[in-house]
Amino acid sequence: MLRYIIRRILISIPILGIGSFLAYLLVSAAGNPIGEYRATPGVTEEDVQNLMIELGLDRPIWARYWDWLTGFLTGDWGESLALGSAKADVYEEVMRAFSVTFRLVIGAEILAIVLGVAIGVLAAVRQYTIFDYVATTAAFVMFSMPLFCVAIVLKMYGIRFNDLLVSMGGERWIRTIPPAQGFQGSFFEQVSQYVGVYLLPTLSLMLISFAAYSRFQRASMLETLGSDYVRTARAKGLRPSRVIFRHAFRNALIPVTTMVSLNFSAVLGGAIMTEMVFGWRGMGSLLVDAVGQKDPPMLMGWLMVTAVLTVAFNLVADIVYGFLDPRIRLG
Amino acid sequence: MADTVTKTTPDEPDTTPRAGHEFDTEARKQWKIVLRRFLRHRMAMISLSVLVLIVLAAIVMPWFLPYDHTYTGGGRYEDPGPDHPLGTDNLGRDMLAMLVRGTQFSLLIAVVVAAMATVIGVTLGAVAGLLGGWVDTLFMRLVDLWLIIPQLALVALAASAFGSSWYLVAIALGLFSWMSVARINRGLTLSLANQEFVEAARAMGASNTRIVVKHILPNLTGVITVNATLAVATAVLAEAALSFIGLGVNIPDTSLGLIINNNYAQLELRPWLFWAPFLVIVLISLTVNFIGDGIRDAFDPKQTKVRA
Repeated sequence: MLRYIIRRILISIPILGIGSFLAYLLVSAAGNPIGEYRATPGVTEEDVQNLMIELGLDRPIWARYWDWLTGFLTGDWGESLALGSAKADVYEEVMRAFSVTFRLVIGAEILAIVLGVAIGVLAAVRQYTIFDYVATTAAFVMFSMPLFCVAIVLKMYGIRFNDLLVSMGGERWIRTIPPAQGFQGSFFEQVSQYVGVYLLPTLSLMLISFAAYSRFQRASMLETLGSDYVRTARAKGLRPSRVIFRHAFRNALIPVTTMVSLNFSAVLGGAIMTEMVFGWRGMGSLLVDAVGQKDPPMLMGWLMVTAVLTVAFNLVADIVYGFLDPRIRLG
Repeated sequence: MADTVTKTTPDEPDTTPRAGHEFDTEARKQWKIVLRRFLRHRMAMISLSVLVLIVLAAIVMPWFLPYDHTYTGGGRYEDPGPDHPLGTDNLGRDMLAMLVRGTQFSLLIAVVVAAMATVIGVTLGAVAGLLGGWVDTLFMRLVDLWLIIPQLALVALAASAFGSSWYLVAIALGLFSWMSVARINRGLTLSLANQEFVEAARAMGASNTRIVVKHILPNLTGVITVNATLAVATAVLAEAALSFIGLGVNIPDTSLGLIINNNYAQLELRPWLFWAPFLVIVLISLTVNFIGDGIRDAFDPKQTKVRA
């Protein structure tokens, strides 16, 4: 097992390496702040040249990439080149934004996996019942929804709910950002504040993954339920619950694991939209700002963090396989 | 070979009933069975009609509307009325005209993206699956490489490098949408390539090109069609998301995502400005997904939902 993990990590290094170079090319092609600087009134061509030399933009791209790479590997991710910001440190900015997004993504994904798997299994066990039809249709419709629209609508109802609370003499419960002074008060008050902040964004982000997982889980559960070993288990006279959980369910989880791990970057994409709607300052707004301001170091930091995470998630999925499927021997 | 030696069908169809036959049966061609199954798929047919209506409306309506997208003579945020059925937006543009134009662009982008994803994905997948060896490894590592960064971020970067016209955004989306198609087609090609009929073709001296075109691709038709259809739905949503966060299509072109971006702040006061483009996006992606499901069922020899 340990050997397998080490081998997998060693394989991902060249992929990350080539990926980072391609990302660097793409980011360079997307532009740099020089164009904007040149267009600023009162800036002479000499100023532009000086700035380019200062930022190292006069050197060939592979030399710049090499500088960036050695800096990145030694923990120096560079400074933001956006003209407006005060040369923010890329590492700090990306990590701050990531911690915001991570809390959103983790909660939404755990909910989506648990609910999606549970409802998918139930729909498969009760195939062609009312429950199955409702669940399947709901998942199909959710699957076809633009996530940001779901978030926009949820936000509107959140505001209405707040207004309702206020009109009943209560306080606003749904918030878009954590309170400035942090979560305070007794345990229950803190939990309530926490739920008020995270409820709607988590819900919007969850719904899309949930639709995909429950559809997929239903299909794979139906396949295992129809397989020979399940029929054998039933024929042996095992209790139905044991057949469903020990024989069918465990094997039906294997394809869903792939789906969840491959879905990670789609979930990050969803988080970007959710954050934009709810005005969170996470990875989403960081990306949109960095692309808008043409800020290469920030973009590279952003891309590398997500790339490393995606690779890590794929690795975790492969390890989980080994536990779920006894036919797979890692080593 | 066979077609030069024997002729299996007579030139003139024999219409006189033969003695001893109460009725004649005719072998149905594969595509006829598939078509019949699809035509009897109720949800798919309803969806197809709705989608055709939307597409026709997007194409035809500009000729019948009193205003087009360049008109800015309306008041700021006029309520819906006989003059402007969906009201006007913050620049006094007629919302219905904008919606029709946005639908046109969103559909165009989706079709271009789906076509690109299908062509790139099928080609890479089939070549990797058939040739195997280092080509397979190389192509699949390429897929891994393309998948390590969220699609939304890559497309946003590419679109910012290319430009914000609709076709540049479409190309940017298409360049990063083919990966799952390639994976699926590689797997299927791999299993097809090991079957007897491919071995037989190879033994008779067929070239790789001939094997792919004559033997592999016809067997992939169902999967390719289903995935191309579903790619349209995904592309509509992806484009809307990209334009919504402001990194996709931009003026002078427009799209449904951009219209929502411009108007969603009015949800509470003027809900129609949000719900109209939202409804069009959902209708397009929902109907396309239903059609894809219908095609999948029609191609599936095991399915029993609709009689052939």
